[in-house]
Amino acid sequence: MEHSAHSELGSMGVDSKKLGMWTFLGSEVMLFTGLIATYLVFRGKSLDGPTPAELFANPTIVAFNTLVLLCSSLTMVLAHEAVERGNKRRFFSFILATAALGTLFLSVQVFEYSKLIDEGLGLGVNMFGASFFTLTGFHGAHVSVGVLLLLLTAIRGWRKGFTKEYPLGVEMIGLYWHFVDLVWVVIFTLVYLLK
Amino acid sequence: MENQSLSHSRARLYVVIFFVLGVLTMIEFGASTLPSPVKLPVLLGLASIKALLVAGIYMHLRFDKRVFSTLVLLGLGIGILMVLAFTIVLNINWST
Repeated sequence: MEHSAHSELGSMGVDSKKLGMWTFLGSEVMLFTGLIATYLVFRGKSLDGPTPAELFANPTIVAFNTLVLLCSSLTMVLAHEAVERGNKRRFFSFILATAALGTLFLSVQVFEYSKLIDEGLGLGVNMFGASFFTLTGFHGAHVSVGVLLLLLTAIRGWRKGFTKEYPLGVEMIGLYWHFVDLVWVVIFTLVYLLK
Repeated sequence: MENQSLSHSRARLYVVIFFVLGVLTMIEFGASTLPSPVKLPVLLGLASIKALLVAGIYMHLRFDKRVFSTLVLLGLGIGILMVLAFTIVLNINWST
């Protein structure tokens, strides 16, 4: 109880919640490194079915989706900056814009999936399809969780106001969101451009 | 007052970084048509710059305690070691 005034600070002098979040992100880096490596190994191992060179000849839609996600990172960081200044209107506009851009990204991904399935690619068609859908599906699931967390954060801020610990909560979800964006930057290059 | 001007300059930095990221994405898109031997290093270089900008500026790693970047690098290092170990154990050929 002696440390109650500094209850959030651990022995390293950093906030425990933030340290926990970065540890989680470190483990996520391992997960995505494994998934990306699996994709790189299996993409050229298909005996039949469509190949990356055939399907990703013109990745304009994906480039657009990359810009959408980059834009959402900007709105997220501006939402964090607004909550630190206590500017509620600006904060809610930016956090809801981030959630909307995340939803747009997911919608475009669903559209892209339906196009790929129409062109003959599927989870069980070949090794390329299996590793591609696993990698991008995992990323999409992360974006979906992110959108949900953004909305929950916004609702919490709306109902309870900006409590003392609220900006830290926004920073945590911001870190998660930027991480998801960062992973997409790598996926866009390795999957769609280096086909 | 000082805090507010600092916050404004940070917001301006975030917008500038966004435009840099956008331009780099366009360049990447254009570079995807380059011949094979040049394409790989160019695209990997551009993607690395973009990843460093997001991690360093948007995730504040450049301004934050070093322990956070260490955690991420540790995760990346273990991930790469894991992949290398599997490559050796399963005798995976990356060239195809």
